[in-house]
Amino acid sequence: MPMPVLRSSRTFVRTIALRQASSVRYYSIPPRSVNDADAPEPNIELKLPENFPPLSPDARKFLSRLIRVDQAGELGADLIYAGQHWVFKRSRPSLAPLIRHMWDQEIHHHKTFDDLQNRHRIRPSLFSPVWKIAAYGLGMGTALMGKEAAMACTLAVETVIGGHYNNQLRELVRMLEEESRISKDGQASAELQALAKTVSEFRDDELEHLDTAVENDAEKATPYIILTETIKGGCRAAVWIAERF
Amino acid sequence: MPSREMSVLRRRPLVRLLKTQFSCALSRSYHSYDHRPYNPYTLSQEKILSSALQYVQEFGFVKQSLVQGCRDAGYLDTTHAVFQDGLFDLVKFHLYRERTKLAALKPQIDEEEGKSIGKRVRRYCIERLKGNELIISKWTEAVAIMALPSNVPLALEELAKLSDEIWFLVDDKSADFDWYTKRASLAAVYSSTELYMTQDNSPSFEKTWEFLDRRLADVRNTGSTVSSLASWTTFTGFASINLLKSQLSRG
Repeated sequence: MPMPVLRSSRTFVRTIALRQASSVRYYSIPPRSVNDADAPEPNIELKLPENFPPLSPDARKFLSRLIRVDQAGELGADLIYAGQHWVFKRSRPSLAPLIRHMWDQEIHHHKTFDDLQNRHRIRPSLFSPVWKIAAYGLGMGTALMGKEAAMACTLAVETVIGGHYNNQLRELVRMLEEESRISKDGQASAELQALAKTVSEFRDDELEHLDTAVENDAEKATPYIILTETIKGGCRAAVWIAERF
Repeated sequence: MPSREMSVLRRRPLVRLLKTQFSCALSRSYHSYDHRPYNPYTLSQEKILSSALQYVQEFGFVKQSLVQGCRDAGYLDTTHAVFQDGLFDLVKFHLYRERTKLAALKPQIDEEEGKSIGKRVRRYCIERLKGNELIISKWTEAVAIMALPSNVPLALEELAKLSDEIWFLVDDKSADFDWYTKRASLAAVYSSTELYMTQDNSPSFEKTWEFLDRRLADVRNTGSTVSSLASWTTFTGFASINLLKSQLSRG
């Protein structure tokens, strides 16, 4: 096993910690095709240079779960804000533009993950209709309870999502490091780098929403602990189910 | 694989069946454009199986085809024992090879059929069915092999992969439950047409293409019925709510 390049002691410690975090290998030795001239060419319109060995089953499983659960999460966030906006447009018109702004960002996130799911041929979550109904109901319900409750809902959801994106990003960075170590020019594949960048940017957006919710009196909601912990628990359960189904 | 997982698989055969057979299609479908495609067959396996398929036309899906295939590939006759699922491995290889051939037809089909999704789906189904033409007389043997209980999950996985491949080549952009309904309906259409083809004696399988057209029309009619029902329900719902509002505001 080659030793990692010692850039700084902090990088070295982080590399060791990340490597010990999981023992799965992301790359396997690729078998050659019988006869390259006769081998079938999949996706003929996207003949990019094939610099990297095939992703291992574990890597493909991780990436497909990532995109599936993130797509379901953004679908949920999109509809939560849609529900909140529907109520606040009628009951608190001054708050509607802020909700609309956050909603527009979530729409962009949702579209990005839909596009990724289509391009990479990933199966979307089987329970999409359930997520749609639950998210819209949650948004409307918390908005009807009041501004503080709606903001507390946003706080709870964004906390879970922010932590979730962090975990995914950690694993993605580990994959990128492994890939750049075995690559010819020391660069990981463009596709995975773009994915890591997307997840990182979206994580920053979600944490910004979290800060907005806190600024808008999220912590003043009356059944605060019950509300936030119930919503967090529901989100975690939904994340577990969406990853697998 | 980590050793903990290995010991679980050794102790629980059912877990092994579920983990290995179901986990492939459902969890690991990430398709990469930067990484070389994952080839499930090794060099020697592909050599033996592709030579064996040439003999299926003559002998059928029997051990003799596999043995001849091993001989042609330059191996001993007993090398066929390497294939743990036996003849089902031969059937699976045929399915895999015909499915992966479809992608190369995309530019031609896109040019000939334009933007119409229905026409392109029809073309892909026909091209895939034509892949069975040479061995259609022996295909009932393959169906019998696929119907064995231990082979059913993987056979269904191959059907699901074919359905997914056709929808992907038609540039399907569905992102929610439609993804499942589209693939399930196409899988049903394709498998029924393939079975019909085994007993079709018409010249160049005209009756099979007509059967396919009828099945695709059924799916279209069902789809339009469901969406009409949905529109009607939504309209009626809103109209009722508005009527109630107007009645209540009358006082």
